[in-house]
Amino acid sequence: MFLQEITPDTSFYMLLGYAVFAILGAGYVISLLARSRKLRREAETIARIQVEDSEQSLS
Amino acid sequence: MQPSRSLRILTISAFLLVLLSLYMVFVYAPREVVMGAVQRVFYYHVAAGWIGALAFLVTLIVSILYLATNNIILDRIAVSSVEIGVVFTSMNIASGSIWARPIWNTWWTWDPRLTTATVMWLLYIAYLMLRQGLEDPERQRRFAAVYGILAFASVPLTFLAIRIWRTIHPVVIGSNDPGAEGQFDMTMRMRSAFFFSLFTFTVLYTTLLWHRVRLEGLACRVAIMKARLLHDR
Repeated sequence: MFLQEITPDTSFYMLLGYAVFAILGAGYVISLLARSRKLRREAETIARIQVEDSEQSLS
Repeated sequence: MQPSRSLRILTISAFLLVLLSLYMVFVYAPREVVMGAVQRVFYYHVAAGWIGALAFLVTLIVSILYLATNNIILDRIAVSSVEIGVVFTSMNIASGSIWARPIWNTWWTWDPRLTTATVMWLLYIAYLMLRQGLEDPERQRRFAAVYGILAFASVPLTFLAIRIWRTIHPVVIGSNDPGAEGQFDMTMRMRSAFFFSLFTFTVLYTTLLWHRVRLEGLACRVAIMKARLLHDR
């Protein structure tokens, strides 16, 4: 009875481990979305400038 | 440009699989009696390591094909796969360190597996950094392809490190080193949760790779638009 092992409480480390997965995973997805949004805005701006340039050259 | 129907279905599937795998890990799989709750880190820790290796293997294959064909799409896949591989290897190393604290009584030790995994991680971070250092796009792609092939040597070395050297890192499939600490016998439910996590992460990798390659294509188109605009002015 005295030699019976008790399962240690390691819940804190489990939560810490899964927090790492969540932070790195979500961080990467957010970075993909942010980069995508930035590139779309750049493409829209360039397209607008091109239209303005062509209108100026016509006038 | 909106994602295709297939990509949207894949993205939703990956999200649902992650939810299901979390259920398998936290509810379906039983608690391990010696290590306690921290053993549950193992399911995603190994899956993240598997994706790191798979991503770098994909980079190796598409790099060889790029050198043979000069197809730019292959280079986009290579850089995208390395980026995802680095993210998952970071998860693998960080979660392993957290698991080690209560089991090995230390956050870090220069064990062969931990050392080779860190060298592999740094090699692929260097891949991403060195790519940015070259101005000429053609040279950048060729250099990255050669580097992607050579750096892959670190992947089998990391996998085999716990099988060829004395180590305290447990072996999941195969026989353990007598000095290994933290090994356990998987029950049927643990095995199901483990293989389901591997499958989920593989689907997640495919989804992320698809999105990341599309992003690389968009970046390329914007760069061409910028160059044209500057040329016209």
